[in-house]
Amino acid sequence: MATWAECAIGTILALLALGGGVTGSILVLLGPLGGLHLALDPVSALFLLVVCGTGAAAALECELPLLPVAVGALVVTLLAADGFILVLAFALASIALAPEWRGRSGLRFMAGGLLCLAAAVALLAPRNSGIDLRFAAMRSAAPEGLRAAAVLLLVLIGTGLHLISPSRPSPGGALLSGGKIAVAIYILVRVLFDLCGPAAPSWWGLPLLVIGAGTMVLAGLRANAADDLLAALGASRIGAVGLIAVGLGVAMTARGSDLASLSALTLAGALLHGVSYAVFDVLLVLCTGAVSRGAGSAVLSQLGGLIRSMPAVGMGALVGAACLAGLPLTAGFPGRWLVLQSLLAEPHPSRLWWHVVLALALAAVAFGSALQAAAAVRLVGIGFLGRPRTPQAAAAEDAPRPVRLMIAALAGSCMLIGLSPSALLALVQPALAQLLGVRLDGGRLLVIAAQADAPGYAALGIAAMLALAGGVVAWTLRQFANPAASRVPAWDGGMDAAPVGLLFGASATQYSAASAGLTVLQSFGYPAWRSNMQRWLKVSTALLQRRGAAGLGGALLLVLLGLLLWAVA
Amino acid sequence: MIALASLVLHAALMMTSAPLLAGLRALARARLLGRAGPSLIQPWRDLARLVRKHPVLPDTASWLFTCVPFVCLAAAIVAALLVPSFALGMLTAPLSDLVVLAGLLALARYALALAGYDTGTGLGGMGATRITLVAVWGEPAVLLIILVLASLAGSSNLDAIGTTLSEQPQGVLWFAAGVALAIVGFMLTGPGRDAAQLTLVHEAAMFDYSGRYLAMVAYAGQLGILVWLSLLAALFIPSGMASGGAGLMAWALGIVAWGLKVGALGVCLAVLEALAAGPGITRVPMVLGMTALLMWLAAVFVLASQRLA
Repeated sequence: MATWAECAIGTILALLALGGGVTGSILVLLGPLGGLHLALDPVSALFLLVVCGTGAAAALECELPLLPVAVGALVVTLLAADGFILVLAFALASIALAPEWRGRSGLRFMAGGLLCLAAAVALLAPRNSGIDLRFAAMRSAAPEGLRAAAVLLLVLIGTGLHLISPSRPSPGGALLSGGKIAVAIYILVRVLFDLCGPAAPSWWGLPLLVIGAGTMVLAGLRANAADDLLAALGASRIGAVGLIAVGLGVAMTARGSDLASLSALTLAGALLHGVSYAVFDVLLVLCTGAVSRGAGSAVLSQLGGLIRSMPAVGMGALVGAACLAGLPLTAGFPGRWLVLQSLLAEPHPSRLWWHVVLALALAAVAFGSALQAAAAVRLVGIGFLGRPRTPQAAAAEDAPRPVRLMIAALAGSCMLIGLSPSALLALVQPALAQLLGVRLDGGRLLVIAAQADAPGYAALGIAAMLALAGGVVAWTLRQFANPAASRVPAWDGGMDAAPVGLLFGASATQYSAASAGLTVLQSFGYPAWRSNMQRWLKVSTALLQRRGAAGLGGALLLVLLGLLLWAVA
Repeated sequence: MIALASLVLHAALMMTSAPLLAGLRALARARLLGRAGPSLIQPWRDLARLVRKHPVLPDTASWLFTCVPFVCLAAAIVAALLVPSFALGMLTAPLSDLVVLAGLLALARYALALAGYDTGTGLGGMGATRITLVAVWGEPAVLLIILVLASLAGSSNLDAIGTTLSEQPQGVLWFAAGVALAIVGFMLTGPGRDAAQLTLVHEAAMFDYSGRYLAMVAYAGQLGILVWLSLLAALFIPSGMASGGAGLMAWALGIVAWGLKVGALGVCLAVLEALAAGPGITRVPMVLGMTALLMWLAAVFVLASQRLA
């Protein structure tokens, strides 16, 4: 199939670039503006790996007719070496991936995001002779002052709009939206770190840091309130983007203050988290697809007890949820650990506002991670453990063999990444060298650390100690303990055995999806806050509709078009 | 070699003292309430008895239910090996990062929550949701404490922090971090199975365990409390600790000092439990949130005072 071929080619190119240092550029002599420039460099290669993996999994999951076009367009966006092909390919991919036009909100977000990115790219182009949108020309004419601030604002708004644009409500749609999010982050990294030149001011990191920290908390709350598996995974994806934004913000500020090692540490953490998140996100979405086919639904309040009826999918979901929670020795920990080290490490830019914001961002990152972990425990606990809540869940069938093999392979690679993060860090180092000029010197074979000879996170050492401890406990019990065990009906608060008609027990006497999240959410005041927020949003949308959304949208369009013309002329 | 020997001695010390500490707390609590109290080694006798018993498992539980006690206990043992007791510079010193330690204890906590969900009963679910509530509010407070300590010492490695804090006299921020760690540790480790409980957190999640599984989970809880008190003693009462590479005399002194420190802290804990009602589950977010706020202010002070100087 075409998508598999595209993904295979993309992966080979990416591995060549990252492992072998093969980079290059070609000029495709067709199209306007003197041809379309494509180039392969380590940053593109890193995100190419993510997109190709996601695309291959999406080919397994859904039968979208435009899928090869969408994946091909995403790949071309990553390989683009001039602004025109970047925006054009991303627009093509967005159109091919757009959901069925339910309401017009999808179109608004997509169009808004593309227009902002186009304006940002146009603002970056040098003004000397005609329209030159090549990246090489942009690098040599770095923007300053008001133009730079406008570029920052536009690229942040554009990426944000793409992140919150809705996707198809299916596992394939979730995977593809993940791929689009990866490309949006790539555009953010490319514009802010590469095209704006090495002398970006240090306050640029501040909006990224603040937005990222806030996003993490909100996404964590949303994930705890989600009704079904896909909504929870989507909210967790936004939370991961929040952590990446925090890392990018600190890296930008460190670069602006000439703290090269700190910026390398943070950027390594952000990129590592992005790549490892993609792996277990694909794992969890594949498990969701298997659950919705095997148990008939992905809504949490209709699942339960799947770890017995779908053991392979249950194991995969357990590994994926452990990665989501950011537990040590899983794939979700190394990136998080590196970003935390950069928030804890010194030296830091010595300004008071930075310290206040940094400490607040650390608190928000910590809350976001803890909420994420609570959501992951709720996901597995309600969806896979306990007693089945519907007859379909009680009679669920495990996934067919190819899907089980895929899930097992992905779960294995999550554990591998968790046990030896240095391997993935070695893939990220070329991108660091390209963007910042330095590598993370703490990335050794068995340990990843902040500095070259400092102690750090030794995943294999901790794993060996855990295995040793478990072995000693098992041996001791074998020697001294009573080896028997017997099964009895669960006590369940003194309830008798279920009556004959209820074949799978009185399943309502266990926690439901809503109540499992409610304890945590109520302590934040989330239900009341959310209903207030929705009421406020309804009021503001009603206001917009009365004035005519067309009028407001038209005004916005005119402003952006004027910006484009001013930039190009 | 010395590092390995100190690690082996430390492991033996921690493993044997965890139930002894629980026994000391039970004895102190009973004496404060006017009773004679149980023997000091009663928890060891209880563990031996539990291990000999024939366990029963609920029929709604899956394979996860029998695996979780092993995960909890292994994580607690590794945490106990990472925290120094009588000497710094053990073999595991390069591995003992505070963030990793917090992650290991979180692993034990969430595994117990999953076991609560696995039973499919209402009580198990209640334990699981309460564990996640305490974790959601406690982990940010822990991370902010780590921020303050790491900023004071320059690294998040436990040995480095211990060495720095024992060499230089510290001020009010370090004391504040100690108080915060005491509060947060109390909330997160939970007073254990023996104490009179006003909040059913861990007890509800491990309700369905019996026999050797209950022994494992109870022992993991006792180790958790010992880890927390050892951390407090190592970071905030560092007098008497042997530095890396010291001799047998320093070790002996360190063991005696550690025993006295942990015993005194355990008796303080028993005094608090006997004389004051613990905060209920509804107060937990407020207490932990205020601790996090206090630590955020301390972090800002530490960062500002160090970097602007």
